[in-house]
Amino acid sequence: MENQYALMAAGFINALSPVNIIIMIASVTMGIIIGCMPGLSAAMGVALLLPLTFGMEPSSGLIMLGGIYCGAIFGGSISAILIHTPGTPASAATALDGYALTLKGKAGKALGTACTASFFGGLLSCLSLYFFAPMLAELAMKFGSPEYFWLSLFGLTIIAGINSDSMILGLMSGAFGLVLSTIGMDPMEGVERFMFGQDSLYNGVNITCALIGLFSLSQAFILAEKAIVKRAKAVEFDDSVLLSGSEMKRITPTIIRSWIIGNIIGILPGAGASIACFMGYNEAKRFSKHPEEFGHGSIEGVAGSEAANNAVTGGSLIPTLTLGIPGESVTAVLMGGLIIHGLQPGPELFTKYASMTYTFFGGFVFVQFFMLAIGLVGSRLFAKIARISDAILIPSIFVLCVVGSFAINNNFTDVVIMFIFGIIGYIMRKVNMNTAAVVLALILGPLGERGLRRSLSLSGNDISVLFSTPICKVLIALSLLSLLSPFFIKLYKKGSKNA
Amino acid sequence: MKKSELAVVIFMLVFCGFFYTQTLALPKAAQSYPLFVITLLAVLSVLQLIKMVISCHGHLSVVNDAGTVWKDFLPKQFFTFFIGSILFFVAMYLVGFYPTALVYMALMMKYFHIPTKHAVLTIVILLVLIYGVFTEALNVPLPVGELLYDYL
Repeated sequence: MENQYALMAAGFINALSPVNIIIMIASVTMGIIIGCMPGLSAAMGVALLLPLTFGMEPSSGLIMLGGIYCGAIFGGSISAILIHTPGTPASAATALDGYALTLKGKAGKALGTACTASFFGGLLSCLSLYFFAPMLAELAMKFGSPEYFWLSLFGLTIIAGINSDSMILGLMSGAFGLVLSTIGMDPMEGVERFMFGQDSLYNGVNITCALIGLFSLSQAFILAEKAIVKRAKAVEFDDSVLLSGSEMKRITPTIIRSWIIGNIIGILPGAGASIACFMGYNEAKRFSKHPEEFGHGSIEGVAGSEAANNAVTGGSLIPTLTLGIPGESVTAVLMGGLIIHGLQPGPELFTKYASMTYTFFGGFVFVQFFMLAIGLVGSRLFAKIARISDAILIPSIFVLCVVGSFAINNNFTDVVIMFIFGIIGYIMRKVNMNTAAVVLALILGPLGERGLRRSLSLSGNDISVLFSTPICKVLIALSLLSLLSPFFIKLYKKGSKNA
Repeated sequence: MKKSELAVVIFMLVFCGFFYTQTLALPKAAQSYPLFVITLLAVLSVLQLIKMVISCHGHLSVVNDAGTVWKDFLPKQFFTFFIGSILFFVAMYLVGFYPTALVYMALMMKYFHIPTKHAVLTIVILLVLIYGVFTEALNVPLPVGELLYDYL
């Protein structure tokens, strides 16, 4: 335990290096800009800016990705409040009361509430990151090959089951990704598989190319297919973004409730910030002394939604870093970033690479402070940026996709692979398939394959080895449960709609 | 059943068939895992097909849902961007990244009727950013182009 405290302290100190501070300021700013632009998502932003981390220390690279993630989740509230268009789905509930406050001439108050609630939601979520992540990592130490096979299947069932309209389509997306993950050298036999004469496919499909194509280029295609819409003019405001003592007192219980909700949703892989914001909003309304204000401009409504969606960020990192099962597309991209830096999620992050991990955790805490400061100071400017036309974004995203994918190995093949994945991602989105499941399958596929084949090889092809330990049984049960989770979510959504 | 869903199932089954034939060319020991995942995808595709048939409630017919899938789709704008992207790759290979990006951005912005002032500002900011980050900081040797390679 003492060692852990020492690592935590060292992490905070390392995170405050001048380079990291610059990275935090830049990444939070970029994240807020991406988040406040309707049509761009946090996952898209993290994937697009992933190549910028190539030359960095792993901890600095991760801090950057974390900063973009948190900034984007908060940034969505700016356009939700000022132009009634949520920048990201995670801010959909914020638009309900945020814009109503704007219409009342209290846009500054709404933005201040969103920023403060996001700050506390994110900061408190770091507590659970510090507390639960090492515990879960210790559990992961007990994992052997059979457990890793089931873990990879569990991860796939979660993301495939939750993030798509049809569960079978989601699972098909995952299985499609699993087939693609077999491209490259066979890990046990050392023979070429489905490489079609391309040496660059020796190590399989490059994850970064797939990420940029599936999330960023496909987004450019989506924007390019529709008429360019002129965005509504952001409302000018002159009221203060700072909250008074009584307002802080009023939103504090809401923030704490939403933190707990957002954190639990974040830790449970699959649900994500877009569900957390509505749950946080609903609970804020249920416990409020002034429920009649909701929908007409309640700061509790804004705080409930924003604290919950930002509390997801720290929570969702727990299963991502410890077990390697990201619950949503942004953390899947973040996990891709981790792997690009040569790190595998799991117990090693808390033993061999503990110093790097705690530096990232420390940075993640400071990112929340920068988000508060930059959000409060720059909200007027971000409101103007939120109006940037899609016509400017489309070619800009494309050029950045090309540079980013080229920078991976300085070769043209990666650009072509990125482009192919861009087309795959676009078509998948058109037919309601799940691009995040493909990415996750590309990441988890090799892990699951090694787990399965090693288990069978060591047991002399005895399949019962896959069911031999209690952890295997728990993981099988969790996989089955996650397959049923869409029904529970549907029931919840139906219930909250009726309410 | 919807035409788009049927197309997905057919594509996936063809995809499985293609990878299945490729798998047969591998040594026996290397076939098992690819066959496992290919079978998984094929089974899920068939399950999806069964689900679609059941949802027809006895009236088996294919509904053309192109109007929903391609709602608000502007073919001219989309394919201008798409073909422009492919031309970008060709031009980048021949004349290098920076000249290509400059011309591409300028033409695309012109096509989208972006005011000249905004277009110039965007191009300058983006290219300076790329130069600073990728060329200077990360030392990425962005393509100079086959045609210019001997001169640079």
